[in-house]
Amino acid sequence: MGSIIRILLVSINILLALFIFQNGFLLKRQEILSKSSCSDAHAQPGQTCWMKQQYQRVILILVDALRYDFLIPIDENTKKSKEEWYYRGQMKNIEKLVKSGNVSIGTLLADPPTTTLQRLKALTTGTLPTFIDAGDNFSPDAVISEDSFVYQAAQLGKNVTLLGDDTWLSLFPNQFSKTAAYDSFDINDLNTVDDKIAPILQDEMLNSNSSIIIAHFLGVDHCGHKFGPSHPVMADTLRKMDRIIGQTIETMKSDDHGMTSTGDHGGESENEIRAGILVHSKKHQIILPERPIHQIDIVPTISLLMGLPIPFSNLGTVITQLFTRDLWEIAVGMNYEQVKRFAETYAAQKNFGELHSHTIRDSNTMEEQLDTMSRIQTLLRVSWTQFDDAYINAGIFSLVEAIMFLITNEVMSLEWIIYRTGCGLLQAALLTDKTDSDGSARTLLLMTLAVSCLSSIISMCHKALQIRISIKSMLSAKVIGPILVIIHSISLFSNSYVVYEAQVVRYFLQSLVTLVFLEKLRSTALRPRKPFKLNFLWKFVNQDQNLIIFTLIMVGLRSEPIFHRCREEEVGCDTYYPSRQAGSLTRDAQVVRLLFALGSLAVANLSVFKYYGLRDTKSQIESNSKRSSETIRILSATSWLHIAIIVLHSVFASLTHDVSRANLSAHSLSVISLICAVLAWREGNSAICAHFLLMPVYILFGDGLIPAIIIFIAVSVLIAEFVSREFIASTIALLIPLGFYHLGHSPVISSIPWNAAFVGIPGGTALRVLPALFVLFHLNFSAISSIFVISSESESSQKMSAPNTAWTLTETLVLMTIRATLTCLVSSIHRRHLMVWKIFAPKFIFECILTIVFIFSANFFLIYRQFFGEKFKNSEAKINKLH
Amino acid sequence: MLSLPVAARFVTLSWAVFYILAVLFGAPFFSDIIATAVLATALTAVSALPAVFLFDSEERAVEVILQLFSCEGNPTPKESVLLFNSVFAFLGAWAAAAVHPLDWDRWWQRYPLPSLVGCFIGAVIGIFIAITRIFVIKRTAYNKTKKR
Repeated sequence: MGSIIRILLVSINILLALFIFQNGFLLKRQEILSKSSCSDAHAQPGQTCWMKQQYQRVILILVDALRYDFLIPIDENTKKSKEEWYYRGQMKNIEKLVKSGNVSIGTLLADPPTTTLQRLKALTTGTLPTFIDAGDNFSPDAVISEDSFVYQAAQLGKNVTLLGDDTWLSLFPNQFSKTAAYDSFDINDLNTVDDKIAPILQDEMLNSNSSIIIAHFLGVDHCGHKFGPSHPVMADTLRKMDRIIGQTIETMKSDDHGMTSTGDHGGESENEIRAGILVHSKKHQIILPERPIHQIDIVPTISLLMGLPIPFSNLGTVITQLFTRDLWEIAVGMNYEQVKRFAETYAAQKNFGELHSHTIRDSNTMEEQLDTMSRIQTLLRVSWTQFDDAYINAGIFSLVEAIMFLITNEVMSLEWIIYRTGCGLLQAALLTDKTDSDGSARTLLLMTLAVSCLSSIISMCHKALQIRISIKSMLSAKVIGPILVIIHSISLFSNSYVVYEAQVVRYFLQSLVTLVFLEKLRSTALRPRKPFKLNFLWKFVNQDQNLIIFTLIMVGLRSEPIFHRCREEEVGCDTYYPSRQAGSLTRDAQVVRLLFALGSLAVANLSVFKYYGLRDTKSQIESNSKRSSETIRILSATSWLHIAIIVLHSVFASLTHDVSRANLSAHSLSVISLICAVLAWREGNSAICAHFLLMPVYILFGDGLIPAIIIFIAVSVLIAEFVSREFIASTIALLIPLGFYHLGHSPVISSIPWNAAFVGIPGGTALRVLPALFVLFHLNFSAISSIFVISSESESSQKMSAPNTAWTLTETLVLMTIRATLTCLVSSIHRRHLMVWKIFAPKFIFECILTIVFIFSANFFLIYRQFFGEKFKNSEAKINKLH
Repeated sequence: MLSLPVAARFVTLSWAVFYILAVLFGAPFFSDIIATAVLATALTAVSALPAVFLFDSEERAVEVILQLFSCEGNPTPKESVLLFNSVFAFLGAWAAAAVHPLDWDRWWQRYPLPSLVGCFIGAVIGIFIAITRIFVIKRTAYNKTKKR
């Protein structure tokens, strides 16, 4: 009981510490809620509000994920590679318009992070969204409270029409005069939204009196997610977009002004932040500058063109080329006044003195003003990745303290319980009370932690003095295992080792398994004796089939590169069929993949029933109940039905794209497998029960990754049997990250398996918890399954006792926390590193999620064991009697 | 010196084991076959080839290997030099893999080179340690007899 309370309390401490660290590291930008008004600027003579309205109407067409190279026309003669053919030069109408000089194309730079929510925020408010907002992408109440041109238009009584993505509605509730918004969450749905809004857009342009029409098209983005750029569907979608843009330009009235801009998705690679912009006006010919335009520059431009005040927090600079030449000075002047006003307010409110040095001097010429604006922009861009060192230090210190406390393995007395609870409460206070101005909670927490650390150090010294150190004891796998885990954690300080982490983890895990193998040889019953022949060497090495199991584990681990999902930094890395997006494969490849999955499923099924079905029927025969063995036999027959359904599901989902049938098969499978699992559980055959419970998991992972998951489970089972209890903790601490890579993940934001969210769930359901859970399960399957390795380990070892399992869990927890702490340390040390948002911050996030899921499942397992463990022991005793 | 057929069998077997181990530990399976072969040859040259010259009979060779695995028995000083030499050669080749992920773009980061260098450096360190160890053991034994 004591050990359970210890793990529970320390887990809470660790979780809170991770959240504290996260709070300091992934800082939110501080918003200023002031709004601009017409009286802010010295208006043009004869105008009520900042500038004269230039156009009656602005039509803003946003095409999600339309890269710059999708948009630009190409010469007929230039050779396109086969991949490029599908997305380059598909937009013929635009090509024609560009040649006639009616429209102008420029490059548009988006600021990372380039997720939809951040882009929309930037496109309407003109601010620079920060990384943490990426997490808010799916939260329903992401109302923009800052000033935006949508708000300004609504304020001045101008109508704004929105067509397309419904994310806009959650951002600007009740600010549009007319909307036609559709759910954007379902990526399987390529055409519905676009087909619905295209005619409405035409109608709106001809008949309504809206001043701003925003049409947000999602087809290209969804297509990119589902099929990737090099796919025939992409060409179709691009041609359709091209037609829509062409038609829009044709139907535009003379005083309309059209603008197409594109935003992209996910990370910050060159392709992702370079979008295209296309501008057309019937009034005068526009030539966009050669240099790239920032996405936020659209905001002041639209505002001034429509005679609106520029949003208060805008940092963009107006695109002068869209105005007639005589208005350039005025427009830039207005823009400069606004940015300066914002900078002064920000400096005063948020104690940011540096800004003053830029605003103090008046800039009078247009060039000077532009220069000052760009300097303010750069300064704020840097500062919005400002970290809160107090939180970072408190978080890391708490983590270190928790590790030290776990290592000392103190008896959990009442004092310690009170102490740890107090610690947790202080941490919670630090988390919830953001306005901890005098830092009292922090000081108190640091003092508490320091005292605890001191006590742990004393206790550790005491223990260290009692241990006798010899070279032989230092060389055992028991010491080297944790050292390997720690070396791996330290290696994360270098970005190359983070990029190639999959290989590093695999190498270390293989080395550890080899060590365990050698250790096993050292302690086996068969002693070397005469005659010393080569045959005997073989017999010695392969006793208890050690060599075979060892080789199987090594081969299983070696198969990781087949399922590896390459990140773009990896040189010379190929992503093979299994972890590619289903849509980006040819039909043949998909069929091959499906057959591969089918084969591995069949092998898995056969071997499960061969080894585990037989084993239990033997014990059942001894107890003379023939009926139960029949149940297993029936179950083994039904298991083939399961496999058939899994394959059918893959056929429906990836080959025929029949979503409703795929969902139906997924639902029926989960029901049947649940029933079978319960039946198997009743038989007392937990292996077969687990086998049936895994069936829905196979569907969740999809046909490509079924072999990966089967190999991973096989390796886990073999490791549980092969590795003895002393070494299991460090093995699992390495197995968890390996499983993360083995199952086709990589620590990059854009590789989150969103596909898993839609398995068996019809698009557009209100319930969003379930998809999120699916994705989390997909990501962290290895952390969850590792618990079963520990539990089966404790079952198989002869002296099964609860404290032993708890101690193994504690050891694993310590190693996982050490790694999490070091990733925290890494990301805080490298916070000014060039690669921080690309490599270290995502690594930190994924590592923390893995650790958190492990902590949750470990605690769940322990509590479950505590309350239902009695039953466990009884059944165990029965089986032991039978043997 | 082992007899020729026994020696040939011994060397080929160890070469095959090293090759398989290298592939299991992540050497490319289809490409770079020559590189892996060179690495296996180097490991064989450092560990199995001296063994061929050192041992007089196959039995003794197998016995020493078994003792290495089960960590008991006492090899003669010459044999202990061989054991240290080969174990440290493996460790060197193992540890040298650390330079592969680094993005320095140097010519010596190409696949077999770091492991080759690691293997030879490890072998030298192993011999050095073994000789020192023998020296220390002899010295203590000498001191003991002197005290008596």
